[in-house]
Amino acid sequence: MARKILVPVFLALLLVFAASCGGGAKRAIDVAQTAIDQAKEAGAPQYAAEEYKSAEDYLSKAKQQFDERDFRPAKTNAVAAKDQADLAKKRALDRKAAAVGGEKEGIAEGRQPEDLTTDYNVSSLSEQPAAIEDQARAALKDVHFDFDSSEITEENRQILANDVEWLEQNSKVKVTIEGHCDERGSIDYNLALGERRAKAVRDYLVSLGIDHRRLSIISYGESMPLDPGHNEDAWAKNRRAHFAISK
Amino acid sequence: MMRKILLAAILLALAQAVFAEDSEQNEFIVISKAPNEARIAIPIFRVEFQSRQGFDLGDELAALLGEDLERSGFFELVPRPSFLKPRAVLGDQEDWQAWNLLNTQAVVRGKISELGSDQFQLTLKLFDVASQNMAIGKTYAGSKPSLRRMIHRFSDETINWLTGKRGGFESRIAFVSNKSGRKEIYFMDSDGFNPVQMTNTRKLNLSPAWLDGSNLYYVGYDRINPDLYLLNIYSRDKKLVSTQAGLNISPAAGPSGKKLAIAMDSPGENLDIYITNPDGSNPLRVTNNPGADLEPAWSPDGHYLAFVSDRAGAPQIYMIDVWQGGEGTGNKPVRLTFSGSYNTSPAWSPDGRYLAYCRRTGNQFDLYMIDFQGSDKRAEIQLTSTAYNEEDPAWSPDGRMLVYSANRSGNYDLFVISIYSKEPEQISSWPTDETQPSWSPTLYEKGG
Repeated sequence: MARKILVPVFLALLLVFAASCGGGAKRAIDVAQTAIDQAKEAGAPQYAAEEYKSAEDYLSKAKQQFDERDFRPAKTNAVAAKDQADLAKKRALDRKAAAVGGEKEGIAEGRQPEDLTTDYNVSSLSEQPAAIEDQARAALKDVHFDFDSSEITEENRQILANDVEWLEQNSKVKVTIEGHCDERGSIDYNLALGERRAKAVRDYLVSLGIDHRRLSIISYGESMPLDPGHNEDAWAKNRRAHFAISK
Repeated sequence: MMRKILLAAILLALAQAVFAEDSEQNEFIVISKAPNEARIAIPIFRVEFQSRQGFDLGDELAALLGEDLERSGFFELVPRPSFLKPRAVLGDQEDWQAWNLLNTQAVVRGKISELGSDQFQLTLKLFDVASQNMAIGKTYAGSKPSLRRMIHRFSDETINWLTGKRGGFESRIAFVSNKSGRKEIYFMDSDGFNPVQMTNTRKLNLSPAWLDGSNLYYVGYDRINPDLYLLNIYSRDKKLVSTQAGLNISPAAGPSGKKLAIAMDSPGENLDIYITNPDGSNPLRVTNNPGADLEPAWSPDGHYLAFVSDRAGAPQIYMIDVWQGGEGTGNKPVRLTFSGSYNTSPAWSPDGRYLAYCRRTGNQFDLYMIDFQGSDKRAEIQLTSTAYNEEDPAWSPDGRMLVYSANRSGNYDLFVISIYSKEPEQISSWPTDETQPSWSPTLYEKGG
């Protein structure tokens, strides 16, 4: 039992120590380098050139900052580099597959999803908006935050990766990112915090390639709780960024 | 040991200096649990017309005057059962000896007469027992609903008699309530009576702040974006004041209502403090920092703005000299709060001496004040320390009381507290959340 507690405590201490002397940044740079290598192997320089270049840019910036002992921004940029590289890899693989299939059927690469959307619009004009809203509700998951924080955590990144996938598949849809807080603290400060959360999510989605013109933000602060309770469970649910379809 | 003696000597000397200076004025000497409360007797007012309801009215209004005066922290009521002996003699002659025996400093006599249908006349007289003279005599006339307001006006006069400075009971408190299911703006009398719902948009409405006795700023989501409105409480006309994309929040009218301070998004940046004309025109940027700056509070002379900023990570309270213009290398904001990791909601007292604010400790919020004129430089005074939350402090127009929201019963209700007696009193008791109170200026000058 004691050991079970000791091990995480020791690991946490190690992490804190590592982060404080730049180990966290170094590791993030290594991870990003590996991700870029994998993306390259997957054909990203050819099939997802923009994303791949963006990953390389972030990495070189991170390396430079690391050399200047600017560990925190270095780590942030390294994480961004890894995210971009993963995205580049995924898109490269998808597009490569599509290109191979497309060549067989004589369809130009990259045009397929858009054409499908157009067809869909024509065939069921009146029902389409409601259907999209339902789809969005099911697909676009909320992300959650710590008290007085707007940090995009690793968990948030995984959720947002799925959200990005849906947004890419539904490229005509515009969304509003709502920032919310728990009930604790000043109502006005929570409006500012909610805005910071919505902005953090927007900026992250833009960094993953979503057109900023499709994303608007609004803060409701603590005034629209999902769970009206007054306990940690309710508070955790209420500290969120939520997606709504823009009209 | 030596140091302790020295300290005691210094404190003693300081205390003497303070007492000597303020001996004539009976206030602001110390904020203690028991200031010298004047004992006042308020027998039931005489009702000079035939009506069962009339008798209750005399009791109700006498009790209301007593509540106001006790709430002020300056008076202690002589309990009714003690009144058996002293009786009013014909004319203005009182049983002075009996009142003296009861240690009574003042006696208030009142009478209510009927002038016509729904027209009443209220005559109130305050007698100074020491000089055996009438110190205040007032006659008010009006409809039944205005009787309570007459009492508040007389309370303010009575406080003026004792302290040399008028009270602030003849005023209103605006607030936010989700009674209807959505947050809407309301106001009520300073004692919690006569609540009136002001907005009914079924959207979000927040942060009311009085410009003067009849106009209120507030934040409304009518057009989806949180915009700033100015609402006339009589005509209910509302005008858009600030509509910057993003937040337009934290309205605070400057001294004499000549300027407005708000927090607004700087395009492409983040939330900053701006000073505008009362109608929102000609915005001038005050803060310039990557952190969010909000909740501006004017010093009474309009020289400084206290505000909340998270520029150092967590929200803390800062102060900036606005006579020097915006934030820059020559005009850096001064940080005022250093204890606690979450200090918000600054409110400057009308005499400039205190800055009330809210601090989070663990999961609990309490009210504090900074004393700018204390012997200790910017001493901190803790106003509340309960197991529940006290938030959103706002000053009464006379600067002697604060209204705030607290969740003592689970939901948030409004309370007032005298900074002298420090005894909180609940003034709203709906089962819903009432928050963000704003105390109006005194309605006395306007006479309306």
